[in-house]
Amino acid sequence: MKGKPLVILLVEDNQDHAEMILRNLQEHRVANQIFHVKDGEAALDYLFQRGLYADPDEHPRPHLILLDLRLPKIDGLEVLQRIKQADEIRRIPVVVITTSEADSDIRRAYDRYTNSYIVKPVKFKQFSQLMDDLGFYWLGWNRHPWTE
Amino acid sequence: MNSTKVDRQDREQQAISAQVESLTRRIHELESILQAEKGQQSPSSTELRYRTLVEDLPVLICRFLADGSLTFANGNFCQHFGRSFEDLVGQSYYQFISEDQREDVRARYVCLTEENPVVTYEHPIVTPGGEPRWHRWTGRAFFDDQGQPVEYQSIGQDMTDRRQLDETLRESEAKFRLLFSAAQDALVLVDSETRQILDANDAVVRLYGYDRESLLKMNALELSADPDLSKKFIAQTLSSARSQLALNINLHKRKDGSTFPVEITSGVIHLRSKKMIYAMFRDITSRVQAETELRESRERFRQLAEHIDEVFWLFDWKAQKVLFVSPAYETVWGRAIEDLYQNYAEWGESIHPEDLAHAQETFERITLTGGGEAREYRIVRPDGSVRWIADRGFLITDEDGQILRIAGLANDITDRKKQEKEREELIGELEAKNAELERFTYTVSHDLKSPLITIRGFLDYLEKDAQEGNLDRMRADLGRIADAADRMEQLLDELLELSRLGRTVFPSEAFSLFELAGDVLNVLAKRLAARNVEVKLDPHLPVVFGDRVRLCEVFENLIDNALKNFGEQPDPCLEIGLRTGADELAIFVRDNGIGIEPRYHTKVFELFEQLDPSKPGTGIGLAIVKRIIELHGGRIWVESEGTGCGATICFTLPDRRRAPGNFEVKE
Repeated sequence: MKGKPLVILLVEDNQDHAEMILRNLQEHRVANQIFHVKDGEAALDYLFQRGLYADPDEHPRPHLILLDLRLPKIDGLEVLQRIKQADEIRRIPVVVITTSEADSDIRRAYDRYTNSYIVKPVKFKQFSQLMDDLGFYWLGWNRHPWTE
Repeated sequence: MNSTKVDRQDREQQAISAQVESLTRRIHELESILQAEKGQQSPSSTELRYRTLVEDLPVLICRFLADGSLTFANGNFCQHFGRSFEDLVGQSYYQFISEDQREDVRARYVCLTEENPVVTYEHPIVTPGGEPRWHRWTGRAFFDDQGQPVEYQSIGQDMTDRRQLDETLRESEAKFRLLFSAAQDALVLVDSETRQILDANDAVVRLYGYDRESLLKMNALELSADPDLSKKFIAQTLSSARSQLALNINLHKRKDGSTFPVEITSGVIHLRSKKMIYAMFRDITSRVQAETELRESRERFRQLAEHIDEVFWLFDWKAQKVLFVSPAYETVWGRAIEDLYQNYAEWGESIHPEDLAHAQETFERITLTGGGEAREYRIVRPDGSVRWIADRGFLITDEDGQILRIAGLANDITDRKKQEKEREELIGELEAKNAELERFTYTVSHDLKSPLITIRGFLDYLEKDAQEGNLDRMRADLGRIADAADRMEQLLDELLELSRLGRTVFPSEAFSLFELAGDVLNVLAKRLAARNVEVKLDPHLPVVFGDRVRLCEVFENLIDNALKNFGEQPDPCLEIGLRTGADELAIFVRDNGIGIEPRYHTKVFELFEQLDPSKPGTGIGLAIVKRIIELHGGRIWVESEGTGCGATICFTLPDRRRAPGNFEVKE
């Protein structure tokens, strides 16, 4: 863990929510680098290092993906499915973070091998606490398959 | 009839006796002549005649003395007993009679007197050859002057053949008598002239209720309930040729007056040289009843078969032939029944090619399962129209389980199928609506929660901003809160609009689309001018039937959509025009903006779907447009080569004047 910059990819179409998540993560100094994309297509381009995100130095593979479900262009569930079907990136933990509490969404996300499913709390204190916990758990406590 | 037989026997006996009597007399005469000529030297011609007569007669003649010793026997006698004349003379006559009869015969001769000199008797004898025969003898005694019997003469006849004939006749008569009386059918003999009943069997008694004695006093016509018809039949019978039988049906009546139908078989017979009519009466009440019932049952079946809408059919399995098809076939199939009777292949030819294999296979299956389940297939009428048929077959087997026939009932279920299809479509529509509703509530909860989270979050940041005295960020965060609140309001408004659309029954009116589009462009003129958009409006836009207000919204949304999508285009151009297709008119709204990639062409019409979240809007606009067009019975689609190529949104509006029915069933 030491010396290695921790990278989070945030996939979120709502600018305001993205701003809130970014501010929280930065305040808690959870990650070294947070990349934010606004739709499913951009997320896949980033992860497969295509187009704008072709340079791995500038856009390194993330250690954690925070994924919203309702995304323009390519839906979050489809993004999740493509990640988990790709050998090179399927080990990256994906945390679905959405406003949807629908059972069908939760089921479909787990069917596509999400590593976690979190519903955005409406109350800001809880939202803030969640971000804190999330960072510590996934990037601190949690062991990654590529950790030396 | 017993009396008849007795009569005949008596008559024959009398005839024989008369014959013997005349013979005896003849012989006697000749003897007298002979006596008179006694003393003459040469045999007279009379004696010769006597000898010849005695020898030539086909009877046995002998003479014997009182003690029984033979004095004479003719040639037949000698031949019959196989002895020579010389042998016989002096032998006892009685030895030729069997022992048990012998004394009886002797007594008969002893009893003869001058007043009563002739006796006739019969007895069995056994010839020297051992053959049993029956003889009839006529004996006569001759007396001397003192009245003492001196000689007997006996003339015998072999009666064996006659007796056998009698026996046969008796047997045959007994047989016929038995048949006559035991017959189940009523038999009568009727006098052809008086029509008096001469004989009647027990069956007549049973059938008519009269006792035999009464019957024998009755006129045959009294048995008939229709004597005039009976007279006609009798006349017919009498005039018909010998041995020819007449068969008639008439109504007869019993003693109690009740009537019943009879079948009469009659003919003519000659008995005792008398012409008689014999007749057999058979009660055919049950047959007539059965025939009536059968006829009625047939009639009922015919009425049923002719009046039901279902096609009832009977198929002969062995002959592979159609036995019966009810007339409804011609209505349902539109084909002639005769053709089907002549050629069973007609059935196969009527079936829709796609259903033929199924129809034939399920037909064969009836022989395995016994049938009962409905088989559905389509038929094609000669005029090309297609009908749906539900056909239910049932196996008919004999006692051994052999397949005899298949009976079936087929009916036209086209209307039902149509209703089913409509129902399925309705269900499909409902399911789609349901799914939409589900999606609606889901997206509503999601999309309404999002700005709420934003507001709550930035309110907290606002507090922090105030504490930190960061006025710039404070302003920015306030802006986010305000935007989120606006967005919530807009979302709520549009959702309300969308939900209203779902239940609006809109009044249709005729109006010019050209004018409508022009009005909308005027309303949006400021925004269009601000972006420097070149607008082209086709003056040929037609007059349509529809909901003016809603179609106004369609143009508003489409133009708004185009405005958002011009992107960096330096020469934005908006074109509203008409494309005439085969049988529908398509209106299009074209922009030369950023375009839409083909894979998003359907997604753009989904609720809350925004390709670019950075653009203003809620993602409801195009969903509303789609809903309005579909409520008008039209379609909507996107044409765009992809990014940078601009986009064309087309929609159709069916001409409602040409299709007044709102619920057409699409085949």
